[in-house]
Amino acid sequence: MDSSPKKRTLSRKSSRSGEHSGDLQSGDTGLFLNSVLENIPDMIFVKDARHLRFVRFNKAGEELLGIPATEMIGKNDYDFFPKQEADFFTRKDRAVLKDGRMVDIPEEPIHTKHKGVRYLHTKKIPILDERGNPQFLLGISEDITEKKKAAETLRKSHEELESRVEQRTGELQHINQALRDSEERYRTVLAALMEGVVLINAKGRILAANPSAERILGLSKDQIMSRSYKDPLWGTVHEDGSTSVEEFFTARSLRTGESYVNAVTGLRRSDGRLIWLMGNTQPLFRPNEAAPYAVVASFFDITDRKEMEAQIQKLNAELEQKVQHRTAELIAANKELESFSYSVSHDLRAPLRAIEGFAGILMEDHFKKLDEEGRRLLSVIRQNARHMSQLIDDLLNFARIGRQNLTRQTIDVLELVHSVIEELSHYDSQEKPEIVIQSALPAAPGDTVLLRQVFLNLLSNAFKFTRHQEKPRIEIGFQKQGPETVYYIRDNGVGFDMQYADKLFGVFQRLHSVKEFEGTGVGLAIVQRIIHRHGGRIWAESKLDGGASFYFTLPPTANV
Amino acid sequence: MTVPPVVDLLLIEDNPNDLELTLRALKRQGLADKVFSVKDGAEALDYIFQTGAFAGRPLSAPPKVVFIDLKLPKVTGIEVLRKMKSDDRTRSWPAVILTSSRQERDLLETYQLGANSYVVKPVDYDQYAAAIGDLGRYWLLLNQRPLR
Repeated sequence: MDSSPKKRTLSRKSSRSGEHSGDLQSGDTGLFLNSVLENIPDMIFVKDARHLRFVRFNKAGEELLGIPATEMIGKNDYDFFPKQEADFFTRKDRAVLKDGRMVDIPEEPIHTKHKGVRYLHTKKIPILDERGNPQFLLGISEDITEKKKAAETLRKSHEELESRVEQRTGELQHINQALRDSEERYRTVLAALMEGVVLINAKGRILAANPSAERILGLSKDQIMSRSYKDPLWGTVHEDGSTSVEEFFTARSLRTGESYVNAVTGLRRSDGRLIWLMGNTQPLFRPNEAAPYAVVASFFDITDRKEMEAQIQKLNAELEQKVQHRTAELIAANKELESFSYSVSHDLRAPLRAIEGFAGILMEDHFKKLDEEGRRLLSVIRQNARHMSQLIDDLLNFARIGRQNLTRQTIDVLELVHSVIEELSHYDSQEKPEIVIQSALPAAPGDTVLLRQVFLNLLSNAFKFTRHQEKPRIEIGFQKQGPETVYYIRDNGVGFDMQYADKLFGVFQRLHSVKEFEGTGVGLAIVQRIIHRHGGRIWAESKLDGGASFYFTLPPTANV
Repeated sequence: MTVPPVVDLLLIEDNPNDLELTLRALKRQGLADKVFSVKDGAEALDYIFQTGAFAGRPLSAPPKVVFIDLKLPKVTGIEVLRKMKSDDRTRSWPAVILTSSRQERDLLETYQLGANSYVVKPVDYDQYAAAIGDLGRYWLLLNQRPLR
């Protein structure tokens, strides 16, 4: 389009010739052209071909350069512009004029008076005379500074955008990779977990389930994920027997936004088996939202434990029942025993009293009618009746000690021993034995009444069996054996043969004849029973005619 | 049933042997005249409250003492004691429990009901006679009691 019109000329003469004037009159043409020239927004200038001095300069040029046309006319580029710029303009001008063809300079800088450096898009056109010699140079310059700036800004912002996009893309790729890595890690962890883990959204849809969840629930991942958490197929059962699915811990957590720990719920598996889960929930929240958007539930199968608990409970209940049954039996037996001993004490004694009493009356009223032998026989009857009465008393006493409750307190053994000895001294008319009491006798835990009975029986035995000694001696003391305190009562009486030691504590067991030493053989049985009821032990050591020693312990914590 | 005009000792005893031994012991002390005996708890209550066979019994001064055996047919000695001690007319009558054995439970209960004494009948005849004699002398001769 810029192919140079070689034959074009610009002269007043030719322009006035009206060759291209069209409708315009030749006189008007100059005026018209001038008007165009002055009002066109581009800078237009004309230089003479020989000296390249401005011959014409339009208004737009004046405005751009900030120099009036009157100043420009007759001067050249070196008068206004830096040498480098002027050289460039001149070189282009010469080239145009030399070649006789238009040159398009897309961009050239120019120093202006007020606007600084501006950029121009300039076309330079040679104007030739009739002979084809260059006469003028026509320049048309468009100020492209703003356009250039806009383009530059556009380019810059484009570049910036491009680089930001690139950077963002990089970041996203990085994040994506990190997410993928982290997801992979969690997936691995989830897959390895023994606990079942499911993710449930706010609508109750199950979004994810790990392999353990599949195993525990007995369902494939797809089956799990096809069910809502409210699906009746779960067959939810709570420990109290209720079946509300709304109370399932996942449902509860979604509803309340709270997390739960160790919640227990039963589920009916599709194979019909009831399994028990213990689970935790963690609701998930988005920032600034009050309701959770999802909940993570983890759980494990505690069915075995539940079943064991139930088994234990059942066994306990059975045991309890057995104990109750046995207790009832024992109570009944005890009652029976009590009424038995009540009967014994009343009904057996009445006939004895009659035998003894009427034998007594016979002796009293008919004394003179009886000979010596008759009286002896009567007295044997009376003696035996009395002895049997004593046996009944002792037996009942023995039975009572087995039933009686223990009232445990700390007992001052030393004081107890002194008081028992004093009591015995009142009754016994024998030669007073020498009594040695270890003064540091430690206190013992026990029932006062019963322990008094122990010392009474043991000491009265000691009195009894030393009766025939020349210098009777009784010693009461204790020994420390490890953590235990062993009390002992030692005498220098007749003693007994150790081969019968096991019979010593039996009921009605006697190692001496009644003739030798009176008694029913219940005293030591009672002593043993009391010591055993206190959780202690009792044993004896002796030699025939070498005295006897009785030892017993009273543990601080005894099972009664 | 012939009731003597004055009854100082009401003896409630079902065992004829014990009754004989008791009366003999009292007689020895010269205390058997004003004794009246009944053989079970029901009869005892009839006598005490003038009912049944004793409905027309003339009102005399209350006995100086009542000897009660615990193990009685029909109505037990405890029951007789309870009724006697819970009635305003008879509450002040002294009651001595005479029984074959010492039972902590019986002791506790009779004392709570207001028994005035609790004595175990000894098997030994001499001791038995001595005990009854002592009791008779004490309650019939020595002890003072309100007239109603």
